[in-house]
Amino acid sequence: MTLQQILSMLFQGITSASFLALITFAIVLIFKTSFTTNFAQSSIATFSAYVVTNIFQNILLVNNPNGNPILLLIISIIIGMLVGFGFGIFIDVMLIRKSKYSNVLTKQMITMGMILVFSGLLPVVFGVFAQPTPMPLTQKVFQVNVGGSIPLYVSGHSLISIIITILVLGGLFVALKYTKWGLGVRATASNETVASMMGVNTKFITAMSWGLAGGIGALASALFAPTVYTLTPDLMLGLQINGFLAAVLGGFTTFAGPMIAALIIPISRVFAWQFLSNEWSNAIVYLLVLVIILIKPVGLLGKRIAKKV
Amino acid sequence: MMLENRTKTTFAPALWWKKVSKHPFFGVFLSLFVMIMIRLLGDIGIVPPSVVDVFAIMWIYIIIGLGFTLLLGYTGLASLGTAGLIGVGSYVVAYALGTLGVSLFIAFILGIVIAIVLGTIVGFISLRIEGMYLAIITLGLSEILVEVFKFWTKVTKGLVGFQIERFPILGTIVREEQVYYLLVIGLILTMFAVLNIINSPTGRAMLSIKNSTSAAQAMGISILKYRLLSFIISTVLAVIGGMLYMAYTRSTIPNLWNIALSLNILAAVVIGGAKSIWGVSLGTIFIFGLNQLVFARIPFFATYGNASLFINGALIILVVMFYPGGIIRMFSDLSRLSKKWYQSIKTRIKEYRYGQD
Repeated sequence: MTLQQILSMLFQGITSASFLALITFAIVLIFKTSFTTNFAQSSIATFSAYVVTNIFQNILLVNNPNGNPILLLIISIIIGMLVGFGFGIFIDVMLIRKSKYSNVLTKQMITMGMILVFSGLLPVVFGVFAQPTPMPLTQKVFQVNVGGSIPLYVSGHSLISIIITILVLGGLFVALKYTKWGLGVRATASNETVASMMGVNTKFITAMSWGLAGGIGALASALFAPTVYTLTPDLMLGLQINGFLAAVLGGFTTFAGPMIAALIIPISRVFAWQFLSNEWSNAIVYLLVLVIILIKPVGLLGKRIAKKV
Repeated sequence: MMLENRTKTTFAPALWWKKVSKHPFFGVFLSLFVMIMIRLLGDIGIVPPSVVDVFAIMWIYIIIGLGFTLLLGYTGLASLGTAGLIGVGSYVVAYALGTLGVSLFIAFILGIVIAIVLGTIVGFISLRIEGMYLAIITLGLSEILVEVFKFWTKVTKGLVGFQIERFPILGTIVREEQVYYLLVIGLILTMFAVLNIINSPTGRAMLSIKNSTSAAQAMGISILKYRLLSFIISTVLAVIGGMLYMAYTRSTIPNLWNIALSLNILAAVVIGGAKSIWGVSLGTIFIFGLNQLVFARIPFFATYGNASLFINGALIILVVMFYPGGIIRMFSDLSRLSKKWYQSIKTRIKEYRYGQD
């Protein structure tokens, strides 16, 4: 085991952690403001990935053959994020808020229904044939000499993904801590009724959280999709499952715990892939998470929620 | 008036019918009759074999849905791992009959034991924290199970799927037509079991947990115990459904057990009405019957294979949002409405005859 191999595995793990962290943040944001788990997260993100590919290839690139492709790609990613934002707001404002009886199970089932809605919508809107994924942001591959005969290959797209993730999540954490919106989110998370009595517009906060979660999911899919070759309806499902596991592992009640777990899960999967078995790595990590939850049910950093009757 | 009274009390078959049709198990025997009729009509040739097959698979989904109704309608939990568990059942039968060569009876016992162990482990870990964690953990479980089906090639034969030969029951090699009766027996037994659970203290305890966990706890009901019990029952029924599926179709493939199947079963339970076993049966017939018998013949749905999922999903959302009782609630609502209309028309006629007041 050389240093180069270890570093390359770490880089691989951190790259997948960057996609996972975005999805996990979206899941936790919705959980904290609406107290439900959004199972449609991956479906919204996948739909946005299809939108990005189609807008980039069929509209922007056709109409501006001489344009800078990277700029066009960024424009289409932003459009995809807006689509995700719109779907997030739609689920909250048009479905969850309008439902007659609203409890945790109802909200969960509405998001489960949305999975079916999206998987029915995808072939009708974008056709039944497999489509190529959005282009990576850069095709460059850097070589880093870390000693030893083989240099470390660092893909530019992965590097950009990691940087974007750090910037976006850093910005969101700063916003949660210092802006009025962040204060509103934290107040809504701790107690929605009291927050609305104190003048926090909880409906706006909740809707914005759903929208933001949709947008972040769309960004994650636009970054993740180029690492696979074709778009499939369950493109993001694996990431969503790992995102939920990360949220459970880190403790749903905090923002920091799931982020740490989102870093732990992909890295441990890469190492399990290397040292134990390449087919069973997912199963091993899943079992590991179950064991940790068995020992510490509230998650790594979570606190038990005291419920008043 | 006199005449009506007399017919009511003295006409024996009418009395008998009234007594019988009110009995809780009347519906079970009615469905037994319907199921056997479909098979017999298929044997004569009135119902085409493909339609009989669709109905047979539907009976299996009703068994699974009945387990799900205990979970969703009575304990108030949602699970997304149904498809994976059905897959486990199918592979247990495939391995036991195809590779080990044991009898179907032993395969069933093996499958039930595996279901209880799996349900206990997963249920205990996730339900200890919070009810909604079950959906997350079972979603992960389902994906992991599908990976196991794909990669554990020694046992599951991998991506190509597992086919088994015709197998003997009670010493004679059976055909599909005879396995159909096995499904009928399975469904009838499940209906009896679930009806009994619903009407027992256990069912009432589960229902109280759904309505309010705090109140249930105050009444001395152990939340973890009943939640775990309902999850284990639904797991066992899902695995039994998978085993019957394998016994009937004799082939299984990993890609069949995806999340869309879990959600379709959820849709069937929600749309039919999660609290009643007749609701679940109607919902399953509605969802899977519509998909297999109606949509499969419409060119639009034949081109866009998954487009029917859109309708199922939209129906889940609409039912959950506006009409949580489901289809079965519609019958009681309609009968109440028609009685109301009948009364108002009656008073109208009286008013017309005798004048107002």
